[in-house]
Amino acid sequence: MGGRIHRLREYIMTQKFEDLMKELKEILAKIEDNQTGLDEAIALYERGAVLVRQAEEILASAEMKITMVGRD
Amino acid sequence: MTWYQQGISDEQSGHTTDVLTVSQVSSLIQTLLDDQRLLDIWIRGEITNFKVHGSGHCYFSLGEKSGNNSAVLSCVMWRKEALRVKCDLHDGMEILVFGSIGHYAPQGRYQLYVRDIQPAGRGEKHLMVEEWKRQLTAEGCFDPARKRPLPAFPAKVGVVTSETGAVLQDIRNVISRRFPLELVVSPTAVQGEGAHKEIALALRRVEREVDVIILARGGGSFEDLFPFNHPDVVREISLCPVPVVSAIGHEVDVTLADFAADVRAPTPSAAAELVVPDRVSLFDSLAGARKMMGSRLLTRLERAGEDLFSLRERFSPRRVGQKLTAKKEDVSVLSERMFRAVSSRILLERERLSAAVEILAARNPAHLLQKGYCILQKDGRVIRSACEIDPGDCLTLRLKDGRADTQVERVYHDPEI
Repeated sequence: MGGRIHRLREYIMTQKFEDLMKELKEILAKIEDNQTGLDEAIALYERGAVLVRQAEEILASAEMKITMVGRD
Repeated sequence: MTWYQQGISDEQSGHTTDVLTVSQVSSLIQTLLDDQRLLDIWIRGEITNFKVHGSGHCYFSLGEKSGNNSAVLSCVMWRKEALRVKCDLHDGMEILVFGSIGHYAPQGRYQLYVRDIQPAGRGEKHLMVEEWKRQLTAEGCFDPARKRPLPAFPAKVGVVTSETGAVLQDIRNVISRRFPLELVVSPTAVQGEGAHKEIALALRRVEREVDVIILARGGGSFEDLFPFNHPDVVREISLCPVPVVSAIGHEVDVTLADFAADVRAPTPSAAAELVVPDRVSLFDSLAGARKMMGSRLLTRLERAGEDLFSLRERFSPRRVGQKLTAKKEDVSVLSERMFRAVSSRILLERERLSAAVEILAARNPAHLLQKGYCILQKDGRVIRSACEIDPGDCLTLRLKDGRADTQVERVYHDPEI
C-alpha cells in the first residue's frame, strides 16, 4: 500500500511535473505560431491554464519527509 | 722524460686510450644517472643531518639501518618545494620522499633532488591513493563520458552520510527550504577503520530507492577523508544506477570519490542545492508561463480582431452605398453624354433639313412660272417633247397664277432641235 503511494508520488513528481513543463513550453510556442488556428490557440490557452494550475498544485503539495534506511 | 712517465708510456704502448678530463667523466656519470629507475621515485627513510640553509633550501640525508647494513642518501630540497611541505621535518623522522637522483658535478657527488615529502604513515596512504587512482582510472571509474546529468525534478533524494552531525542537518535545511520532498537517509560511518565498507554498503542500500544520491561528509584531515578514496567506495559510485553528487570535506580536499561522482559540490549545502530545484523560482516561472501564454493569446486575438474589422469594413452598408452612388454617378455621366450627343445630332439634322428645304425651294417650278415660263401637261404629266403630242390632244397649261385647257390643232416637229 505504502509502496503504491510512493510510486504514485514519484510519478506525479518526476514524470508529471517534467511533462507538464514540457507541454507548457510546446503550448507557448504553438500559441505564438501564426500557423495555429485561432480556435486552436484559444483551446491551447485553456489547456495551458489547466497545466499551470496542476503544476502549481504539485509544487504546493510538496512536503518534507525523511525516511531512514536501516543498517541491518 | 722522467722514469715514471717512461713506465706508463711503456705499459700503454700498443693501446690508443685517450685520457679523459674530469668533466667528461662527470657528464658520463650524469648520463648514467638518467635512468628511468632513478627518476620520479618514492623512497622511504629516516631524516639525518637536517639543515635549512639561509636561502630556504633544505639539505638532509635519508638513512636506513637494517642489521649491519646501513645506507645513506644525500638529499636536497629547494625552497619552492620545501615551502609546500606541511609537516615539521626533523632528524629521526621516518618519511617518504619523492624526487629524482642527479649528479652534482662541482662536488662530485650524486644526490636526491626532493620534490615532495610525506610523513611515513600518511605518505604511504598518499602512495596508496596514487596507486588506486591509476588502477581505477584504468577501470574507467573516472571516465567523463560516464557522468550523467542530474534529474531536473527528483521525487526522492538519497543521502549517504553520518546520521549525526551538521552535514545531514544542512542538507535537510536546504532541501526543506528549496523544495520539500522525500529524503532517504542511508547512515554510515564516515571515517575510521572499515568506514569504506560501510559507505559502499550504505550507497548500495539506497541506490535502488531514489532518483539521485548525495554522498557527503564534513571537513577533516587527509586521514579522516581517507575512506572516500577507497576503491570499494569509488567502484560503488561508478556502478550506481542513479547520479551521485559528492560533497566530501572542504572544497580544497579532493578524494577519489569526488572524481567518480557525477557532480562534485563544494559543500553539502551546495550539493543539496544542486539536487533539488528551487520551488519559489518554479512558481515564478509558472506564473511567467501563464502570463506569457495570456499575452500571446491576446496578441493573436487582437490580430484576428483587426483582420475581422477590415473584412467587415469591406462589407459595410456605407461601403455598399458608396459603391451605389458611384454607379449612379456613372449612369448620370453616361446619360448626360448621351443627351448631349443626341441633341447635337438633332441640331445637325435640322441644319441639313433646312439646307434641303432651301435647295428644294430653289428648284420649285413655281419660280419658273414666276419668271413667265409655263408648264404643259397632258393627263397630269409634264410634256417635254413635241413627240408626245398629237393633234387633237387636250393639254393643260400651267401659268404663274392659273391654268388653261387647250386643244392642239397641229404639231410641228422641228428637225433642228
